[in-house]
Amino acid sequence: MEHMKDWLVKAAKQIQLDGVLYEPRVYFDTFLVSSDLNSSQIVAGSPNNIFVNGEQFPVSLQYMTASLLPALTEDLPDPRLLQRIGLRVRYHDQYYMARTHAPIALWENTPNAAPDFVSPSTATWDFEQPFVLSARDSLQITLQSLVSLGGEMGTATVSVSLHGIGLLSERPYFFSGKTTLTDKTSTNLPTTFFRNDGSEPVVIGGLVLNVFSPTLPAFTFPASAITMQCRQIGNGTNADWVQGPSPVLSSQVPAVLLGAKTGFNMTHCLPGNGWQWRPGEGLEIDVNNLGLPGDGQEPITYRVGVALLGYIAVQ
Amino acid sequence: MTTQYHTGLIFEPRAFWDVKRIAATAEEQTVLFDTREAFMNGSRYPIEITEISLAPINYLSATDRDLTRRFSGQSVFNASQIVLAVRQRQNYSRFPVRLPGYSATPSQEPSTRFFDTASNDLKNASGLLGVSHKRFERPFVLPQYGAVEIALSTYEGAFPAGGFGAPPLFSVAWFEAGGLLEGSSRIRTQVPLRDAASVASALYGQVIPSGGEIPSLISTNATFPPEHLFTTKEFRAQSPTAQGAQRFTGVTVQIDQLAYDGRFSGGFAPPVNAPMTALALRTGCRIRTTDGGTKMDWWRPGAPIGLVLNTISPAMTYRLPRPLTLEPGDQLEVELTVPPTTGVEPADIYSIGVALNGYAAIQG
Repeated sequence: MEHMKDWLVKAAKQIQLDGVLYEPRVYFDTFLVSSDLNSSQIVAGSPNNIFVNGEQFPVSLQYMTASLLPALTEDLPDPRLLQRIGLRVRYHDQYYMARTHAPIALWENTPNAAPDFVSPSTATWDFEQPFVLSARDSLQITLQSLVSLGGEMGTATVSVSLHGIGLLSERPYFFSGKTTLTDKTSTNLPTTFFRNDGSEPVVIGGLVLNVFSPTLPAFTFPASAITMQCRQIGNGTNADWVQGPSPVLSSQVPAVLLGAKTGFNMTHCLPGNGWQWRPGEGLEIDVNNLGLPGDGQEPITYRVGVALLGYIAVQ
Repeated sequence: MTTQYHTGLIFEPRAFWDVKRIAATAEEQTVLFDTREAFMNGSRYPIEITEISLAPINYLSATDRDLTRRFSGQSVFNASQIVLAVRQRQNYSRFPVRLPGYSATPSQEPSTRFFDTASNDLKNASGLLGVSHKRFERPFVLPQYGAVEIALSTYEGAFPAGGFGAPPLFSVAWFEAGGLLEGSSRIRTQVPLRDAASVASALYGQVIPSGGEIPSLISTNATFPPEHLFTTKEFRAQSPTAQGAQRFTGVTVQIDQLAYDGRFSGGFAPPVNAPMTALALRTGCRIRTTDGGTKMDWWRPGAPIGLVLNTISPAMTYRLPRPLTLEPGDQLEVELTVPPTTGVEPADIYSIGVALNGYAAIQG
């Protein structure tokens, strides 16, 4: 078995940014794309560009994810229509991947399929750089549904699990909490679920969010309909991990966008060593319609979410 | 034949591939993948084999069209076996190995099969994204005016008898390193994918099983229609700022077959009551370096896309723990064993593809 010190040294060599501690970060935005737009009509993101490092420490980003989300009318779109939305990134007038919008599916360059029966309702994110949950620390995790519950969709039981190892003992640790959402109210998971009651700090390596509907057993409840926010209580920055288009989604990221390891989305591993943002740095993302269908009578407005995942290095 | 890593100056992806299509009989059959020199290194460079990809080729759906013929869908894959060998010198296994016995590397895109809501039912869709991606694990470098050219073939069986609709669309991206964002891509997007006007011009014959499919209005007898070519000119035009050699990190082909899947799984009778096959296992490709590098085809033209662009693909891929290097003139032999017919339907056709994927080490 690999010794903890060796593991930490190896992990440290992969870090692009030096810091005294690290915390996961997510930047995401949603784009409303109408089926009656032509491909030359570009849909920009939310006002006050989301994709900017607004904190005082540098950020390193490793993955971009994208997925269709429930529409504002709460209809769940055909998730394959991600193939009919173009995406590009602009940074100092340099475009990525290309000046022409590329269908979002074309961005996929990382195998991210979980078993079929898990995939649509689960998002798994292994942190590029683990964070330390010190003794007596906990996490404040907030969940919300993007669709009305209680009727056709039933209720949604959401669980959030984190896994890690003890810094001294090297034993595995698992933290997990769950709640049942019955409407669109924002709900905090009790912090006791995630409190480190042990005598040693725990190095947390990843997060899993799963949702199912206990009242509708035939359905896999899509992770795209559940949003999440998280922050550490105790040590760390105590800042929100997720930066989003508040107040549209209360800055909570649709869980499907967290599935960089496995999930029901497009996952794109960023080129090179990823992108590093110093404070104030960022980029812009825009999308266009590449042939989304209407309903035959009226145009349909689709909502697509795009996220950048990485970590902040507190220095 | 060696198991040594080669230190090349530059590398180019390579694959040796073949597809065996065979009529089922009452007895189990053992046959060779026998396309002439399909598994021989006929180039002047050593070629490292790093992965073996296997897939059922040219099937319409994952199981059966009407659920009466057990092996007329891709399920025959699980009942087939191969032996890899160096002719008359050594076999790499004493007995034939079941195809799933080659340990599968996670390489699939998410399936829509369990994304089932009140408003839509996706259990028979071919996939979420329609992507076949190849990550270059060895540096593939082109000089400033170098170029690489990719073309897709046609596929057979565009429409169920009964009606026309929108064609599938394909997009291509070449990923390269460099620039402010450490990368960029050269892309060609949403090109209509043409189908074969006749079975004679189709690379892998008639789709299996055939239910009287008809060609589309844009079908063609050209195996590689000019419209399917991402030309050298287009490729160069998308690099206005490149200076000096460029390092490429991967290539992706994406096929949008939403309308295609819908036609077969619900649009026309009889519907296919099984997950549709990705067109990446029914469409071939040709890639060659046109300037710089070896100026050669990366593989014998016509390799199924999913077999050679295999980092993300519907094919099954086994990664060799050590590369197997074919020196110039070296040759492998691949023997296929397929099961007897089920007896329910004597006209079963089996079609299995294999590709040995790796890199040519170009040593100057």
